[in-house]
Amino acid sequence: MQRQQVQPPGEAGVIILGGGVIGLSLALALAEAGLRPLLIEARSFGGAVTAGSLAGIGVHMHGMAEFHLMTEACRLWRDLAAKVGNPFEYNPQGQIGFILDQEGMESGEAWVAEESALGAPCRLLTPAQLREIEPGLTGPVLGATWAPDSATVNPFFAARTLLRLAREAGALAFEHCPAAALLSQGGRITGVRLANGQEIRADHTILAAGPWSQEIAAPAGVMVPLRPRQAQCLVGLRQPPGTIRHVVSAVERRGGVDAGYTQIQQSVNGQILFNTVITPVDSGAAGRDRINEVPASFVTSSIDMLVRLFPALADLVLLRSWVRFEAVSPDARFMAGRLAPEGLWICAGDNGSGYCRALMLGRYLAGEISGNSRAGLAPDLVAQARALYAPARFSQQAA
Amino acid sequence: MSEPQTHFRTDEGAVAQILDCDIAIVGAGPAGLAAGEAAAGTGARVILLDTFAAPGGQYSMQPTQGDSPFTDTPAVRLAREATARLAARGVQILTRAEVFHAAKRQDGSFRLAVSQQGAARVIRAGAVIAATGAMERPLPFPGWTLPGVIGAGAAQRLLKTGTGSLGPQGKTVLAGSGPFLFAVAQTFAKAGAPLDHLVEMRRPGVREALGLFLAHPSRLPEALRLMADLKASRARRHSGHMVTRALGTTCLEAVEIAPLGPDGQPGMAAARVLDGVGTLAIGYGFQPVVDLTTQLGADHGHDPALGGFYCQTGADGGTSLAGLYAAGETCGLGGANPARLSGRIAGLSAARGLGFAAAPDETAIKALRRARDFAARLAALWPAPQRLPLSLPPDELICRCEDVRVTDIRAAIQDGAREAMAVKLWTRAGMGPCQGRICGAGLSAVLEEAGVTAIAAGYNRAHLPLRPTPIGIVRAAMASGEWDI
Amino acid sequence: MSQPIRITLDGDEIEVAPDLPLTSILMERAPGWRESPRLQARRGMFCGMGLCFECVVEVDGQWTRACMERSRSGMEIRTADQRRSAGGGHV
Repeated sequence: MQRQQVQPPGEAGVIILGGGVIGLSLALALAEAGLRPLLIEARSFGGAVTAGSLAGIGVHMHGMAEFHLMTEACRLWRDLAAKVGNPFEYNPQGQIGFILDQEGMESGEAWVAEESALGAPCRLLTPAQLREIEPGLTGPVLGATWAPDSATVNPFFAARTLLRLAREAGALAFEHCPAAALLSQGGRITGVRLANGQEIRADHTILAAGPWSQEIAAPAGVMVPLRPRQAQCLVGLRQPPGTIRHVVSAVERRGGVDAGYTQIQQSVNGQILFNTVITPVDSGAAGRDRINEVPASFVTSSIDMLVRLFPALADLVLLRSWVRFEAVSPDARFMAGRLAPEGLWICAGDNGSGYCRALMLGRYLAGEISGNSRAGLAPDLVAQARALYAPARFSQQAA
Repeated sequence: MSEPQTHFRTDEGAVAQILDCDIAIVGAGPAGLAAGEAAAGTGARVILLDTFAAPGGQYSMQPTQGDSPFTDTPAVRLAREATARLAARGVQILTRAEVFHAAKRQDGSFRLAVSQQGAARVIRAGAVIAATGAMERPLPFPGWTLPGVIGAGAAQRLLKTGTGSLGPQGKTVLAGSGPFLFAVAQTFAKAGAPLDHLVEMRRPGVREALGLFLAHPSRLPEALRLMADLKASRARRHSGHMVTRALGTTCLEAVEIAPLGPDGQPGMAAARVLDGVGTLAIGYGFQPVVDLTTQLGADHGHDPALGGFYCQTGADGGTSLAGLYAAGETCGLGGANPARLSGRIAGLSAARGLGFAAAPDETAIKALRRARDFAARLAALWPAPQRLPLSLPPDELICRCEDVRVTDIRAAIQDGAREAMAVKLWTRAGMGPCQGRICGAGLSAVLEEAGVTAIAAGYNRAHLPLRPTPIGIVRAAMASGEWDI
Repeated sequence: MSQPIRITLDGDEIEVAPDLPLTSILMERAPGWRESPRLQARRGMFCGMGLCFECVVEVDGQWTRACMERSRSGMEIRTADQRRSAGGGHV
């Protein structure tokens, strides 16, 4: 492998601010499009929001509007895993949406009906069918949705792979290299100044710093309506393989942006990852930079739900916990595209499920920035992405 | 969907017992015991916690068997007597009690979540003293994961608290670096357990030793006793040597040692194999246990002479977090004397901070300075190796919990991991039950090879749970209503 | 020396001294009683003070560090050996 440069160059084709899974995906797609990307990460690559992700890859329960884009997003992950020998534990394990009450049943039926109509292989399971697919889930469920095509990746290994691929494709990437300010000239963003004073010029600069994007943009007069929301996870000690066979999540209340959620899964190394949030809370901007502990109420609700669904895990030993911060947009969709000043772009607003969309968004913006349709998504998907992700949809509020 | 989630409990009956005190002291070694005595003497209500079955820590660990030759050693007596005095003063001593979570609340008070023999407790405290001590700082070497290769401290614990025998058949080798090896050799002698070989990286010269004891003559008798016991153990002493390999298939069978050249590297041409070895007790030094203080967010410094990352304290034992004090080896290695003195100082300060009448003990402060000077001079005679003393074969393990090889670590660094956290994420090293405590030194040594200093690599801050804890206990503690305020 | 007590170790009833660290009992038999997760390599007590988790066994069904636990009359200890013959489970 070639040695990395020690210093960022003074000029680049595109500057990407933020080395999480979004920034890394952008770096890969832009490098493949020949746009000479330079990725700047304040700390470690994939060390913040990305490191706290459960990295679910699936279309299930993400809504009809994004269905085709999400299908493409999932395909890109599947293809990448196949192409590079799956160093990031791409695991098409399938996803169960457990149903505990009548309201959940109605939601589950509606999800399945809509997604099936669009060609997704998901279906409803009776408790008996569920028992066959997920034998350890013996809790009092009325049924479940089943999306056999949902997958997971190892969030750390996937970030590491994307970094390697991006560099191999010609991207430059620097960690521990915080940006201090956007540079502007004649109303146009022309690059960034690093915390160490170095200035880097580029025709395009992309904010891909998740919940930190706002504060990078604000001094340049650009308002980004993203708020940080705390998310967290508990990890139990390694269990025998197959203790939990699939991603187990609560069937989401339809249309609920801030509804509670549950996700339980077993990692490839056997550890049990589980979290149940009853009411998500905003953390406030300051919380995002502290190293927080998980809230007590979250610990109890997560343990209760795990044991309710998987009573055999009542003796599980807790090993780790972590907190992360998701960037939440007003309508719970990504902001991906141009911002008001010329030369400035954004790709942020994961709303807790950025991992799945990362490769797709990278492709999308590579096409938009290069103007080369071969670098981007298919034309029909580009049109959908523009309609769904355009940052301009918030320009009223931003002004 | 969110509705029904609030309507059940894992076990409604399991509620943590709440215990109130002014000062909670975590760790009942020499520092914690001294802190407890000092604090209780001011009238403060004190709770003293320890993971083990009896107070004493590593230094004064209590034998379990009535016929043990260690029943009446000065160190053992010291803890037994201190414990009796504490009990008489009404100090509540919780043994087999492991702190798995700690928080400081907005009102300035602290909460500790404790797992004690299958039960959950929550301790309310006005101030906390972290006297969590030190642990082995293992450096990986070829074969170090073979059963029969144990820490030098583990050997000592087994001899003192067990039946006086290490167990495995075959010869016993004690190896590593530093004065602690002599203490372990002394333990072998006292237990009547055979010690066949002592392999030490460095043997300080007479002049160096003379300098130390001229400055601290009161420490000479203890040192002479250690040397006499070492001789009495009849162990064959290999000075200027190191263990280069532990050999065996399913468990330890032999140990390869080699003399160190002027460059500090083992001369493999002169390496030889000690056959028929059942136990290799190896120790390259210790590191402060800082999980409690890092979780609470106190400032930590790094100094190889103090064992790596340590909790920073002022002259009064206070950390950067008001109400949190640290004593003993949590603040850096130094042995039992600085531990006792810093414990006393922290105990008085914590009480004073809560409004109890407790004048600073100027004598203790002065004595602590002197005790730390001795510890620093002693440490300087045996600098702890920071780098891997020999190059590891690519397949050798760094992380024992997750079976992560040195080649995996090097590849992650090559791919751009430049800090401890990044290496952990990209390799899983440190994600297992030990949470990086055992692989930390090895990992940091591999990062050093790549030019990343220990300070730049940083430490992985501890989070809930500080030690693996059953979810039923975690739930009972967290459902107590004492948190998130 | 106090009266010996009876405990069960991997299905065998044995007599040991009371209040003895389990590592003492296990080391006496063989220094490796656990298996590492990925390589299935033999492991046993390493740090001896509750921090490395290499000495873990099941005591009365609970995941337990052998170095932190002491012999009690009637206790049942299972190591990786017995679990493997019983068809699985990691410690």
